[in-house]
Amino acid sequence: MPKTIILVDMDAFFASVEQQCNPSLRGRPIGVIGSDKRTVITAASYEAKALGIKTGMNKFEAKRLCPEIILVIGNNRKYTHTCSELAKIYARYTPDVEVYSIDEAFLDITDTQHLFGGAMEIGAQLKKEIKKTFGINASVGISHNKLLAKLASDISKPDGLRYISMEDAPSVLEDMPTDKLWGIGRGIGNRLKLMGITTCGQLGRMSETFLRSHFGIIGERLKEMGQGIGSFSVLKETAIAKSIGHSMTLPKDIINMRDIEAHILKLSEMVARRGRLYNLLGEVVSVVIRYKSFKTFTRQKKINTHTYDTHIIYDTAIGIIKVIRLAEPVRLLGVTLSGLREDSGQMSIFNECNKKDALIKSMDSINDKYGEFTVSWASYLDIRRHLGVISPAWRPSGLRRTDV
Amino acid sequence: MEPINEKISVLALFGDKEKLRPYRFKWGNRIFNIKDVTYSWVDTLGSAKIYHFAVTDGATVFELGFNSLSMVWRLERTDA
Ligand SMILES: [Mg+2]
Repeated sequence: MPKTIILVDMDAFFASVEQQCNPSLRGRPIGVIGSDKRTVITAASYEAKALGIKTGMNKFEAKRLCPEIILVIGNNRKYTHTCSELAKIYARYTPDVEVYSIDEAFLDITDTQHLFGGAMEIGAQLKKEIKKTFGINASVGISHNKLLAKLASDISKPDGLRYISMEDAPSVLEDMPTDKLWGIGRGIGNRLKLMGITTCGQLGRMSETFLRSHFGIIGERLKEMGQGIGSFSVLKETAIAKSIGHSMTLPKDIINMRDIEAHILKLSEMVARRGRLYNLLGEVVSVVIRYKSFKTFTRQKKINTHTYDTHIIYDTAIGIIKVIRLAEPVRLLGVTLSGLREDSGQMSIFNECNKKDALIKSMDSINDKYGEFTVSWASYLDIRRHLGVISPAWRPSGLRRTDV
Repeated sequence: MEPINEKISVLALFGDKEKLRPYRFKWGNRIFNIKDVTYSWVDTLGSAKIYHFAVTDGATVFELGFNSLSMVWRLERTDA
């Protein structure tokens, strides 16, 4: 039996929340930025989009294009809370929910749709409940796989509700520009265009050999995408995560090693603490760095033990950065612990280790009670809390939840 | 929005549907009647939950926060 998948996607999420909070912003072009020192627009209202403002645009560029734009400093807590509350609404319709990003979720309603009067009815109900609870619009796409559900939502935005049935799919795809498909960015879209392939219909009829010769291993996948073939597995949070990671966009770009060390310490502590909370030890530390130019890369190092010790993770991460030798100011930093296994709770035969363990555990319980970073390592003291930009990997619960 | 972060007196209702809704508050010696709660969200400060409300008196937007542990209301920010 074919699956029935729903994608729910909030329209201009951060901007809509801010417009809901402050009635004087409604109906007006607004751009949300991460902090007063950040310059990139993380969300634009529909009114701003109509004037050419795009997510990722620099605020000076935006002002030039649209002098009447209102810049609002976002509050990540509002968005993460809303995301968690949305997950509760979804859970009323099916247990199979994949919160894909801060404002998108896939729901597999194959086995539950009959209880609610069908897929379209669920879509309409979800939109209504979201509007009633949060005052914001969502666009809902429904189809037999995730690729087409996402497409259905995207092409019906804003405030849309669209079902693409198996029978309709070929005619919807025939004239659809390829870059409307989830996973085909402007980059691949432009390369396809240069070859004279502008629509999904054309893409789906290309030979695999031709596509593979131009795009390598993803060539085959591109052909399938043109035909509307896609995955329908909705991934729930798994019991054992593959990695624990935290990343943050910094309030301003930094190049000074002291600043970088302090941020890496904070991230290492967040990662280690999550490991301790879930009793997971890791043996691989990775660092992700995004430069001012948005050039992004990851380097990793295996350590010779499994650990959730902040200092070992920190030392390894700093070791990685020292080898890199930074070429540009840094915009985003991330630390990830992987190669995880569960802590068997074995006592260390070295007394020193046990003492350190005890110290870390008491720091954790103090921080549980009084708030994150009430007790912390001295070298972290210079860095004040700030509003970072939300990572797309944020999840409402479980191991992938990141404190923002 | 300007940060204020001052303790305030609030008249609020603990209801059965809407769990908590502020209706009126006193800031300095002025009384503000809340016309509309435009948004609410929750975060934590240690083991305390902070219930945040974006509210308007019809002219000005305020953000109020209720600390569930200390039971203190604060005016967090306003655009006044
Ligand atoms: Mg969205």
